[in-house]
Amino acid sequence: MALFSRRFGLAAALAAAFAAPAFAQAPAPAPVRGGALTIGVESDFEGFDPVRAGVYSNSTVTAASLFYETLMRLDDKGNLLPALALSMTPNEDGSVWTAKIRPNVKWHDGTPFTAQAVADHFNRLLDPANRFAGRAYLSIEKVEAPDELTAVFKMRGPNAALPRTLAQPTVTTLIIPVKIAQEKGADYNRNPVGTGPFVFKEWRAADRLVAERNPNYWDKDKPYLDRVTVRPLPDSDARYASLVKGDVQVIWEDRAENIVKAKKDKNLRVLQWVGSGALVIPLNTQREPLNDKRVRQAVSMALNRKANAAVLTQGLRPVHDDPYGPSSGIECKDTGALKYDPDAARKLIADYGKPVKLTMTVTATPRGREGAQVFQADMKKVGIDVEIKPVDQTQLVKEALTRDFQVTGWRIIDLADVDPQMFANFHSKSPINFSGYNNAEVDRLLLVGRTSLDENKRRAAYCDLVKILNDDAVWLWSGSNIDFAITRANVRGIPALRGGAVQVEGAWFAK
Amino acid sequence: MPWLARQLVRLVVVLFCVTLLTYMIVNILPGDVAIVILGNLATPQDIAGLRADLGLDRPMLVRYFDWLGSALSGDLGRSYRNGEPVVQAILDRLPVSLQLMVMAQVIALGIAIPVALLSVRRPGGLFDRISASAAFGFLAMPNFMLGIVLIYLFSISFDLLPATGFTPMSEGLWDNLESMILPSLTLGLIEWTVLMRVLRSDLLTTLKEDFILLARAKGLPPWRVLLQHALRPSSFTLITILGLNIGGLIGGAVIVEQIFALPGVGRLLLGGIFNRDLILVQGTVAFIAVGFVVINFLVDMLYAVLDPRVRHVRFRS
Repeated sequence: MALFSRRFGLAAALAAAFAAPAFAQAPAPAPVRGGALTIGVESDFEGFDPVRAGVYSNSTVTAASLFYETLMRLDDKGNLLPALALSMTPNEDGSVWTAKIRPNVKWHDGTPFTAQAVADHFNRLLDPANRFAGRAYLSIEKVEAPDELTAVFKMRGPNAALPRTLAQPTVTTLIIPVKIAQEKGADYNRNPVGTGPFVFKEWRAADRLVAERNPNYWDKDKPYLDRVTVRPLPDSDARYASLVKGDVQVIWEDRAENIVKAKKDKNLRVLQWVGSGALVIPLNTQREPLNDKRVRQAVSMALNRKANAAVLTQGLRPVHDDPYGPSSGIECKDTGALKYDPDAARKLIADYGKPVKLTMTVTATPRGREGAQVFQADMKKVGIDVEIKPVDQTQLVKEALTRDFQVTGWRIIDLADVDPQMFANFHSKSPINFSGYNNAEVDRLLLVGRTSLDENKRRAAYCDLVKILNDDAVWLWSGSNIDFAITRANVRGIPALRGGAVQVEGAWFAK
Repeated sequence: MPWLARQLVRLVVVLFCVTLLTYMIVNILPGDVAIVILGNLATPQDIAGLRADLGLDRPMLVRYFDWLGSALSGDLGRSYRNGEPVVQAILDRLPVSLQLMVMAQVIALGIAIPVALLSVRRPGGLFDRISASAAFGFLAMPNFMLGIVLIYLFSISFDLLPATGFTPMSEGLWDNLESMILPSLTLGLIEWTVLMRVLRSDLLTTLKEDFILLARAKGLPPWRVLLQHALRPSSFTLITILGLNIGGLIGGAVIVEQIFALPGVGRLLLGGIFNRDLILVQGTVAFIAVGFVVINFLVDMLYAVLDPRVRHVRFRS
């Protein structure tokens, strides 16, 4: 446990201090109990049964983490903390992990929370009959419960990332009571039961979800708030206006204008979190002309990533030369990134000898089109013609998964450990490697990252890996995953916005 | 065939065409609910499996007639996305949308009728010109922009009304009205313009009729001539426009519900479209189409009430 509890701890601490000054506060006064908090989020909730909902948006994770919990937790510095599990310990090679379950925890209906519930939850997600898509990222073979307080995770192979992967609240890691869900059937999706700090009270679709303080919560000091309401407010200007008016006290926000405005307003505070992962531009290495490394490199060198991010997000989104992000704890001295160099790009295209025409498939949204337009403008400067193909989001996914694209826009989401997505995106045998990239050395490094229990080895492997990816120009990293929340000035205790979710277990109102 | 029966037959034909067309349009939309549900990482096998479970692998016409059969017995199916019965989802949200549209219409008429009456007292006069300019100004303004302007004015600057959200009537009439004023105003402030222009134009025509001259010759005061003699015969086009404008109002409600975060039918529809929840979209559109056709049917009936000549001609034919 000790080995893993501080994995990447120092690097993450430095990164968090650099990336998220909003969280670096002076020693806080003692939290005050009481009060009702309303959070404004972007969209309505898919539901709270992972099998039925399929995916949780960050709005749904915000609501679900009121009443569901994970086995482990991460503090703002990236250190692992116990939650529903007191500890997670690997066997010698990390192929089996044993979780000691916290005793005396109860579901909101009063029944005890046991290791069997943990096993049931994960085994249900792993069962192919349930078609839970997130299982593509899970390296778990099955989970067993030899006794009431021990859950044993049998992995498909050695896996170093499990405790961190299970520590970030997602549709997979937030544990639900399968027995209760099965008893309630279709109704469970709209009437969740959990072990968390708040008890579900009411969900009026498209209007509000209300949860009240769990008086029997295992962490006796928490939560501080009596009541939390989550309201889907889809229009970003109206959401911001509701916050300024005081109708809501916290909002998730992504509109640069509102964030810049809020930073100047003394009644408001802006919380920001640069997560792991990145916004990316995958290039299909199987399709002409991108199957030629010179063309891919030319595209990479022609793209003025920093200037584009500054234009598109008013300078709010940082750009890095790797897809890990500061909060991953992986900081590479040398990423081997190809620098912005239109002249060199032109030479490479001339060397290639044929005219280069590309089609960029993006979502038919203002955000998708804007990104494509700056890409198109950059490429034009070096003689590459780009046609923009705006499509529906689900169509884009379909084209990506079937490798029916040349250039597209994608996102490596903010997860606590980089392994699941890096492996899925770049391993030659992965069904989700939609660039069709095939490199034996990359496969080897991905396996080191997945299996090594030595954190230095893992970090070195990921840095070596990104050097190859940058040189081969497989995916281009167009900007970090950055999330913002804006609160009224008296709201305290909201942790890092991992995955864009606003968690309020420790939130309170300053007098 | 009697007029009423003919109207009913027409109603059925229109509804059949509307639902079939919607079904076809919704089905040729790109995108797939199975991918929406299963997420970006679904395998093609899982997607195919879920499509089969949802019955989406069957031919479109077979699915349409299945749906139609159930719809005729009042069952619009269950949302692909969350399993909620579509009828229930619509009925839960209907009161919000109805209240929004009724309040918007009341506001629109409340502005349009007095302004039109005052305008025709001196056509081309100062009031007439100001009201015409104001009407064009509001007409040119998109409702999403007007909504945000109203929020900034009434919620933030004057701190009078909530910016977003809905309070059900069961939690207090005033709280409910408070939450509906800005959304209704957003719709109503655009709606009144057309109504006013139509009514003004019809009033001007009516005021040239002989019976108005007679009323004036009898020495009736101008407001009595306008209200008692000119308004009723001038309101036929207004009523037609009211009926036809229901479509525009529903379209406006979709956007206004989104801005003000009202849990109405418009937002249900929009969510269904975003999620490719075809059965929800189909059910909601069919419901709205029925509403639209029925309201226009009622408007036709209203002519008969207002004008005995219409009733006589129609029922005789």
